[in-house]
Amino acid sequence: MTEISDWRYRIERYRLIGVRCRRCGSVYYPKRSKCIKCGSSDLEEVELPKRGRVVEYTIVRLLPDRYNHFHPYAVALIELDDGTRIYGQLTDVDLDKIHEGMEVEATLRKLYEYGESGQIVYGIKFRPVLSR
Amino acid sequence: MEVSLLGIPVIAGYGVIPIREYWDKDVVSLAINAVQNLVKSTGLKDFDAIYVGNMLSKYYEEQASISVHLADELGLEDVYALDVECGDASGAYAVLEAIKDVLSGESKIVLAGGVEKSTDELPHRLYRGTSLSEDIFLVDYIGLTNLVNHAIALKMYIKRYNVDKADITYLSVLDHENASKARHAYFRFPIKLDTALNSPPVADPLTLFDISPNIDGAAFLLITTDDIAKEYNLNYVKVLGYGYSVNRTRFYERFDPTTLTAAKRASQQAFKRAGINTSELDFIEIHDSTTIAGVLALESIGVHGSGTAAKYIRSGVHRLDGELPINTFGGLKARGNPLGATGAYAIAEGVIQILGEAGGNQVKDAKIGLIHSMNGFDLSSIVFILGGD
Amino acid sequence: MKPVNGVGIYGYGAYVPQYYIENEAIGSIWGRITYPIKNKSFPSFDEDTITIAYEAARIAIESSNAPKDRIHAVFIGTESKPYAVKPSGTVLVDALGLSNKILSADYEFACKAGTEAMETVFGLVASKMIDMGIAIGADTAQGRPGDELEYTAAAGGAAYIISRVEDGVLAVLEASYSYVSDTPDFWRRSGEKYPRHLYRFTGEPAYFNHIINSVNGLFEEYGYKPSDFKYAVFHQPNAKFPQRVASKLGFTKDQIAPGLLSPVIGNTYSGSSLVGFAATLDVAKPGDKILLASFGSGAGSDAFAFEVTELIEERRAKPPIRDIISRMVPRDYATYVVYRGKIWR
Repeated sequence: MTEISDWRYRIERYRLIGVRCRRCGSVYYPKRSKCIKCGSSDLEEVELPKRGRVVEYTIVRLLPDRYNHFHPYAVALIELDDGTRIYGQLTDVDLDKIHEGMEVEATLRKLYEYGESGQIVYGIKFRPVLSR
Repeated sequence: MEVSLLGIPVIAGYGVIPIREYWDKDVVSLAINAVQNLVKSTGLKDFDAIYVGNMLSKYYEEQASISVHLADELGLEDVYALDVECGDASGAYAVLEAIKDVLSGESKIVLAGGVEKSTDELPHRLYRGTSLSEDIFLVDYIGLTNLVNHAIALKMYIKRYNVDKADITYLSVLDHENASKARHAYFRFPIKLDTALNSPPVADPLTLFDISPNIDGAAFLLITTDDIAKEYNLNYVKVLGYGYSVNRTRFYERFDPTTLTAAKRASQQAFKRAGINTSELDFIEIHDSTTIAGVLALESIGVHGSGTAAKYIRSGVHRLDGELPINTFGGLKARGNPLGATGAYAIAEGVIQILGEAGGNQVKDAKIGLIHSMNGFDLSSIVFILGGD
Repeated sequence: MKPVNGVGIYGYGAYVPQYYIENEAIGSIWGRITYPIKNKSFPSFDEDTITIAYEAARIAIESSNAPKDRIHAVFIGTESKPYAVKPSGTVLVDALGLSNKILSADYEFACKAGTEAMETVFGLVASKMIDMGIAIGADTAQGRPGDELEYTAAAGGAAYIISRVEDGVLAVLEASYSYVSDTPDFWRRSGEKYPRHLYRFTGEPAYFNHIINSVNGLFEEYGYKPSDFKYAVFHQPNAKFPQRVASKLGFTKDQIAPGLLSPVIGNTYSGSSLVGFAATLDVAKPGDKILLASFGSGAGSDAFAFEVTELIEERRAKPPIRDIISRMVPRDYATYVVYRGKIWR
């Protein structure tokens, strides 16, 4: 990805915008062009709920380019409040305190930057829900 | 079995190089070395087509179109040269391209295989590179790596079937045992289960010994018809069947994440084309890029029921001297996983077995073998069934 | 200053990162044994002024159910802009799903940049040029290692959605007064990583002089006295200064208590008085008058008088800032230094 594709995907990345099949109601994130459940191409943009639960997770310890500035991070399979499943990176949580079923909510965080003089890319990560 | 106008597709030669770090070679020279071995052993050097499987040279050393450079180095002129990319199944898909080419009658003698050169790269670029067959949106914005799917599938599998992780990791012990005898393997030493279980975590709960090394290698096969092979006095192995399929690319959209649906469909096609079933197999090469991938592959191709493969592996039935040997030269875990070349190595190993040239790794009476190769975590899978004459 | 048309606060939100470092942990490295506060917040490696501003604004919008399509300004006051050139507000426009028909700019006036942003939005809304606007004060303040200010330079922010009174406000702006002079007590030259200051000069001639002048100016022009107010919130660079200025102006400890957060979160710079104001609104009742007085080095002070309405109950920020503070966890100096980018891989 380049700065320009980051810009292209920013709305989806900032606000968890996916698509919903108008025919059968299936929801997908990231977007796709055809419903894989019923085959319809009649898909509309939809903003996904920002809260959900951790279904499963793992901790990435072999850090790939762009995410290698700090420490291992957790990637979780999250089921959002409407049942849609997505992958999300977790933040604001000690790695040994993550557990299946943990309630999480989306927040905007820095993902990476193109060096010290380059652009900063923001996106959604998931953190344990703030107290209500 | 597909029968062409001119004969039965066969693999009549192979050339592999030992899998290791090659500080003195780039991607094209690695391919040349493997091809030279093949040329030396078969005596054939005029190919009608060459298919070169490779995953990451455009990202690593930024060399595109390896096949035309290989053709140039080999002094070939009116050759059909094509690069084939399919993640870590590239080498296997390249071989299928060759088979289809021969079946159609377009080509008579085809060179196909794969090459990968990873070891010049710095760690963080390696870990991104191996993740590039995933949806780049997830790689960039979630920090997804190729191991994430394996790790989460492992957790789901253990919970669903109440399996002991040690039984799954045991596959690496079996692999190492076989690789310790194999000349072209990377890890040529046996390991203890304890060592494997206590190795550092890489994508919890996967540890270092649950995953395969992405290291340099090149392997090529000679594909032709039985008639032509006989003409040149070459020993050959028949391609009895093959199958291929894809799975949902986003792991979390899969209906059953612990079944490798593409591997399942590909193997069903292959068995149908070959007209055989699992009980007739003498050995299997599965794509264990991680131990869990290997375990799931065994189940998905129909050798064991869901949730049971790990305990069979632990029981010893799949050892070299067991009922149904798997990964006879160490599989991806111990023989090594040079990404774009891996599938070609697995096919070459199948050929070596059936030709009886496996030396210390020889499976007794190896007549029919199944080769499975996979892109990522079953993004796509391809299966070959090879048989002796 | 009094707007021609009634304006007020439609909604508000405040946020601090989840990490804090104890003054003692900093002092143990640099050999100091007395401290200006107890703990200060610091941002995680993936937070910056933009993400903090986003959180504060998100809480404000969600808690008050503000109609996003009627917000036509987002101004962020900060002295730790991630970009010297590229307004922090543009990210919020797209990240919050605000209309693209909108004004956006970053404000700078040291720690009073947030209240400067508020004054501008009050003006735009009162003049009916726009319906609603958001003013934010947020910072991830840069503390020079080993310097006195390292003990208090913290991270946090608060957002205020401003509308005309007829849209329903939780607090009405009664009047405001700003006092500015060229008093360089604390500054940062372009390109420099850390600010510099003149130690004790930041007290009397700067902080106290400007706040006392803006508050007295407000009192004299509009006839207020300290006992008119239920609460008062002052810029809080440490624990002592806001308590001393309150006392000098005639306010009691009880009046400033709900809004005094610096002892546990530090000085959130452009967020400082605004986060304190949010904490005060979290407990205020209809009819309460609140004095808000910011201070920005350089120097100046903005003083505001607000009166809380019955809408406060339904529009209160959820979660309240003290709940957000209660989930904070301590980290050591090494973690703090790495996360703050003082050493880089």
